[in-house]
Amino acid sequence: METGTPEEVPVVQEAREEDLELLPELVTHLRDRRSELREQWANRITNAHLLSAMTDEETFSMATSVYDSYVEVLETGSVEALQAYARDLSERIIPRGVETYEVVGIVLLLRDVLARSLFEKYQKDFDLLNRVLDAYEPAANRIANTVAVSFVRERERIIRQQQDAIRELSTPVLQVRERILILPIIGVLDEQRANQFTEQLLAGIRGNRAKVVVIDITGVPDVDSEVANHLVQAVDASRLMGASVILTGLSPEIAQTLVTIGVDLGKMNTVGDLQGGVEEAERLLGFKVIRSDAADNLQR
Amino acid sequence: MADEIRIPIGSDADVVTARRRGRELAAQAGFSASELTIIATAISEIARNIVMFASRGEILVSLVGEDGREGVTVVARDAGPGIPDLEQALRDGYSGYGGMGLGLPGSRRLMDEFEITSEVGKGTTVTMTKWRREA
Repeated sequence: METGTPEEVPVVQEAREEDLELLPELVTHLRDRRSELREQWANRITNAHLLSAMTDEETFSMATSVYDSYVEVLETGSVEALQAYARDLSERIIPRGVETYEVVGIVLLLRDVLARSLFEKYQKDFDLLNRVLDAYEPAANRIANTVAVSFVRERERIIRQQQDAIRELSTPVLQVRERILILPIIGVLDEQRANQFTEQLLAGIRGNRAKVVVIDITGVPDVDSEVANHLVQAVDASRLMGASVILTGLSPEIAQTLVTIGVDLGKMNTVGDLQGGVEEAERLLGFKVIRSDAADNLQR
Repeated sequence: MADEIRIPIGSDADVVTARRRGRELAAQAGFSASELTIIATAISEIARNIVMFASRGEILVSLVGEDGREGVTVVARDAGPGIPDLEQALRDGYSGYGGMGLGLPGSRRLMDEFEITSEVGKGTTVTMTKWRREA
């Protein structure tokens, strides 16, 4: 996924050869008027209330880099440097909460500012102006596309990364005593995690030769009929493997809701909290916990 | 904050979003913790139906007030295949997909008011309301 070669953004328009000859002149003009046009652009950004998440210094520094990259693309015809910059910029500003519409917005505003300055310069010669625009527009549009696509691709990369991290939040299988396992479930139990959970549960039962499993759902925010369905199936499968299941952590609200919907958890052994669940599991296996008189003095 | 929210439903993730945002909005009306769970679950059940049968739809949750009492109304709309036999669908245990089949009858029991209209080939609309229980 992370390769050095930038993915190509397809070119939408092609400029004619004779028009491309005008580009060097355009580039010179944009470089000469750099300070003035950059300031015009910065004003437009502020008036449009874009990039409110960034400080003025940051916006200025970014404006300078984007302006220079913009002119460089017009000069060299290559978007590679721009792509690299856009990727780097996106990586920095996405965590700050900058949205796609802001990034696309500022690039389009720059496009407008530069186009207006070209109008101003070449307005006396309509034919020449048209040729200048014929050369400018394909390049300007390609730049806007490149920046927008880079930004969106970076967001998608971050999302994929986060999805992987979430998937890694696997359910730990904890052995507290011989033949007793605890499986705490944290977070939303969607189809994929439910399957992952069941797999780990059954593997844990086999691997630990467990006879009782305590499944704690304190950390599951909402239990509806689908989640209940997943749990029932996990419990049935566990039973097939010779382990009984104790379900703990069902809040009063969820219990009430499940009863109202009509979920039948009658086959399940449920206990209010985890401690109660573990005690019940121990009791089932014949363990007895006795407090001895010779207790260690715990250092405070 | 707004009095109404609209959530497009197209995937499992949207079901979670609908539940969460619906609950947040209902909290503004001062519902108790159990009432909030009930509302969130009812939204969840209906939203799952949309994903399961219609693939795509939308859910509107809005705060309502009537005769001095406050409540929340949920409207779930889709342009899916529609339900040919409403009576059957509202019966417990009937499931079009092999699950527990508690979506519609379950939601009906959870909420105070429940209305469903459906046309085969056109789609389904569910409107349900829960009123806040006065202390």
